[in-house]
Formats: sequence, C-alpha cells, structure tokens
Amino acid sequence: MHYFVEYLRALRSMRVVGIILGVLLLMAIIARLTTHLDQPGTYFGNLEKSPTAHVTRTTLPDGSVRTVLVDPARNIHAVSVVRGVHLHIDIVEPSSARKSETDHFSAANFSVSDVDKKGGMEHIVVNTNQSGDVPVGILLLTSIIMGFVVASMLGGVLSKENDGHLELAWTKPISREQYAVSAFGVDLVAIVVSQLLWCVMALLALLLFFMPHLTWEKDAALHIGLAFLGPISWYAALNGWSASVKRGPGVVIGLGWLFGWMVPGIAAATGGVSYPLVAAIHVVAQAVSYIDPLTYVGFHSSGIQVSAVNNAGSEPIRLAVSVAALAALTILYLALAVAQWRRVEA
Amino acid sequence: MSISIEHLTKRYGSFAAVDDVSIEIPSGCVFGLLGPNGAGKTTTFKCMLGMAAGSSGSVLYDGKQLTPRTFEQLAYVPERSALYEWMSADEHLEMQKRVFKRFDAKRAADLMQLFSLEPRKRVRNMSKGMRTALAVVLAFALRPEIMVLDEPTSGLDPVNQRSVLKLIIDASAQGATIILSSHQIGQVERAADHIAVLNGGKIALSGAVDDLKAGSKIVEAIFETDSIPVNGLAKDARITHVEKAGRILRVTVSSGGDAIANELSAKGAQSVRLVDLNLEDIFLSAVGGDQTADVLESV
Repeated sequence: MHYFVEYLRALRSMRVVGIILGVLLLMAIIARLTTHLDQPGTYFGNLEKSPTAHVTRTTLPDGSVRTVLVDPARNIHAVSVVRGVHLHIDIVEPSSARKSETDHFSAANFSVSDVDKKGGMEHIVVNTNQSGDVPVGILLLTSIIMGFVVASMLGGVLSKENDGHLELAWTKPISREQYAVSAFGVDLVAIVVSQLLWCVMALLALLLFFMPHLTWEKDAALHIGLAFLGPISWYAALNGWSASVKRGPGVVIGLGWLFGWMVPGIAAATGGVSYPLVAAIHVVAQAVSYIDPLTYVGFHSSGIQVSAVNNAGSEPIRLAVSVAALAALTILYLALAVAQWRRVEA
Repeated sequence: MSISIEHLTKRYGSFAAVDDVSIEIPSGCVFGLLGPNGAGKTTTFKCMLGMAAGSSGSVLYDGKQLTPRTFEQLAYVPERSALYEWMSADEHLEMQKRVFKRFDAKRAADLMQLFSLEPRKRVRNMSKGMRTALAVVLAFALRPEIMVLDEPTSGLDPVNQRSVLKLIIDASAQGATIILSSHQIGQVERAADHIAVLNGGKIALSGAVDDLKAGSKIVEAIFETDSIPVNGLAKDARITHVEKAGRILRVTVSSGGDAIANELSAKGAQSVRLVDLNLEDIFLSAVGGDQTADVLESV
C-alpha cells in the first residue's frame, strides 16, 4: 500500500468534509425547528378534532379525497383535497386562530400563499407534497461545491511530495508513474466519496421537511457526469499546473482559483466590444478559457462563455460537450502532471 | 550486494557537482564517503538512488541498473529530514510496514525504544535529533541489504550517535552493504572499511582505511630559520600535502615517510619526526583543510 500517505491525506480531508456537512445538517435542523410550521395535514387534522366541526368527506371521480370542514363556533371554513402525495388546503379563519406568525412561506415542497386579511379573517392556501421529488442528477450537481473543496485540498499532490519528501516517496519499490497514478486514484475516490456524503447529508436535511423521492430526470446521466467530472478535472488541473513546483502547491492552487474564475469572466466581459485592444483580450481570454475546467462547469455568474459550448445547440448537447471537455481536460492534465513528475529531480 | 559507480558526472549547467566519480563498494562493506560541505556527497547519493539523473556514467547494483525493485532491498537516510511534518512516528512506521515486505515491526519497536521516541508524537513537534533518529529507525527496521546513510547522526546526542554507529556495525556484520557520509570522521573511522574523499565533485582520495592509515604519515621538520627549502617537494608523487608554519614544515605523505624524512634532514632540518595519521588527518590533507598554517603546495 504505497499510497498510504495519500490515504492519510484523504482521510484528513474527510474529517473536514464531516465538519462541513455536520454544520450544514445542524443548520437544517435549526431551520426546521425555528420555522414553527405545523405540517398542514396535521393542522387540518386538529381542526377536524374540534367538537363543533362538521366534516364532509367525498371521493372525487379522479380518486382525490375532498374534505370540507365547517366550524361555525370557531368561524372556520376549510377544504382539503388529497391527490396521491399532493395535498391542497384552503382555509378561511380568524387571523388570531393561526399559531404561526408567518404569512408567506415557501420551502422545499411546502408553500403557503395567497393570504388575504379582511375584517380580521385570513384566507390561506397551502400546497404541499407528502413526499417531494428529488432529481438524482440535480442532487449530485449540488454536491459539486463539496467536490471542489476536496479537490482543492488534495490537489497538487505531486508538488506536496516535491516539497521535501521525495527521499521517502522515491525510495519505495514502485515506479514514479505508479506512485503518481495511485495517489491520483486515492484522491479521486476521496472526491467522489465527499460528493456522495454531501448527497446523503442533503437527503437527511430534506427528510426534516418531507420524504424525498429520488427521480431520474431527463439528462440525469449528463448532470451526474458534470457533477463528478467538474471537481475531478479541477483536481487534475491543479496537479498539471503544480507537478514541477518544489515548494508546495499552495500558491498554484490560489492562483488557479483566480485564473479559473477570471479568465471566463474576462472573456464574457470583453465579448462584443469592437475596440481593438479589448477585442484582442477577448480572443486571448476565450482561447485560454478552453483549458479552464471552471468554464465548462459554468461556475461564474455570466455562465459558460466558451463558444464551442454556447453554440453547441440544445441543453443536452451543451451538457454533453461540457462533460466531454471535462473528461478530456482531466486526462490531459493528469498526463501532464505525470510527465513532469518523471522529470523532476530531488 | 555490491555497488559500482562508474565515471559518474552530474552537471548543473556548466557546474559539475559530481565530476567523473568512480567508486567500487564491495558487498558487505561499510564505505565512508567523506568531503567538505558542497563536495558532492549528497548529489552522488541522489544519482545513485535515481533521484537525480547523472549527466554521464552509471551506477550498478550487483551489475544491474537501479529499478524500483532495487528499493525492496535498500534503505536511505537522507541528509535533510524528508519526514511528513503532519504525521506521527507511528504513522511513518505504518507507512513503511505497508510498503516493504521486509519491515520488521518488532525491530522498529525496539529501535523506537532505543532512541526514546514517542510513537504518537507528530514530526512537527520533534527536535532535529529526534527526526534523525526516526529516519534511522525507518531505515534499519527494513533490515535492508543496502543502506545509504547521509549524515545519519546529524543532530543526535553522543549517546544516540554511538547507538547509530553500533547499528551500522551490526548491520554490516550481518552482510549489509553500507555507504555512509558523515562529518563525524571518528565515527567513519570506527565503522568504515573503505573510504573515498570527495572534494569539488572529484575523488581526492580513496582506498581501504587500514591501507591509507598504514602508508600515510606526517613528516614534521623544524628548521633553524623560517626560510625553508621546499623546492621540488610538490613534484614528489608520495607527497599529498605540504604546509609551513614559521620554522616548522609538515609534509603529508601517502608512502615513503622515512625517505622523505631523510631528505628533509639533508636539507638542513634541525629535527625531523614521523607522525602516524588518523583518518581526520588523512581527510584534511586530502581536502587541504588545515587553515592554521600556510599551505604551500597541495597535490
């Protein structure tokens, strides 16, 4: 197990991942506890329990169950319609009857809207799903941030060895290429695991609000490809840029982020300007942005600015081009890193 | 396992850090590589271990080129700590255990105890001596056939220096081939069978320690005035170094000390005596390192 050092580095990064995810989950728990929201179904159920309430339940032709509640003593009139996992509630009640002070609220699968206050009465419309659809690809796309954090922590692995540890790294009974590839392998697994842990945390957080129901959306495979290849290609780029650097990859990683963000941004900002100098900058920035993984992830606010991606046509094709470009950049940068690693001298 | 370094040269631009160095290290031998700072010892080691590519020449292990598999039988203690600051001693041992089949966990534990190293202590919290000791533990726990030790006692206290010396001698007795560099020439003298002295990237002197000591002597002659007739001494192949301090002339010879003494007597020396050399004297004469006297000629 000649990649033991990298394994330890990856474990340390997992500790950071654990802390980040723990904090986020805690925030979700706090958010859930502090919203003071009654589950709409529970609230309607409580209204039904009132001894003065008259409840009429009918099954509609489409299978929906309609419940009409009239409570003259409390001046409440409410209608609920349950259709599969969807719940619609329409309540007219005195404004003081509501426990929550929230007039307008929308979170996850839950929305309260169209609130009128007239003569001390409130009209509340609630729409909710007992279980919400969570597209798998989109869920994984949200994990891309975690992936980038871990990619930045583990990136520049060869440069880290070149920072005074070659005498240990190179006196193992394996070739330099094997050493590099196994270190990359450990780090890539760590990146993927961190993203999967993010997804688990996200599902747990959603579970606090509703039962998440995973769905395979259109383009899910491309979304997943983009979600994993984004951080992986960034990791590869950091290695490709820093493999020959002797004093650790910190500066390269810092400048890499600056480069990654600025180049597509400059390309976007200078596009369509006829002034020759600006046009020249645009051409250079756009050309350079082709080798910037962040370009294809579309991290910057202006969106993807590379013409090959923009002009690729429909969304699935643009996604496919991005995924292919990220895969190509990953291979290119890792090969570049190994090529440098072979030539480095202690 | 024998090591053969043949015409090894390592250039950085026009500067030759190692210049046409050839050394034969027999199997089971303790070989001392000596030299002042910047002489090229560490560069030689790096070229031997494939960490730096030699500009020309070759290094052969039992007649074969270095391959990754060679490291299954080789341990290296570098001059500068290559340990990971963020890892503990235990984690370093675990790293070796997982990589090398030859790793002897019991021996590692014994060596940790010998050097009073705390297993859970992180390298960043260790002194220079402790780091050196840990590097020594990592190397010796492998029970390798070849050991390349670059200043293995650097920063160690005298007790631990003695322990390292004993480890080297014991490993050699068990058949390991050891190439050792140290500024502690007394230690090299105790441990090494053969030495080479590097100076300015070139071999200034090499041979079996006993042979070098047997032939090498200082002929110390005292003259009546400080006008000493030294003409022609530098041309004598037996003389390696000549220096003058006032009326005293010291001539270092690799052989033929008696003849040189007679020659100096004939040139008017009031008294002449022959002094046996220790390895430090031989080293200093080879590198011209005695700065207390006027060095007249060095060959």
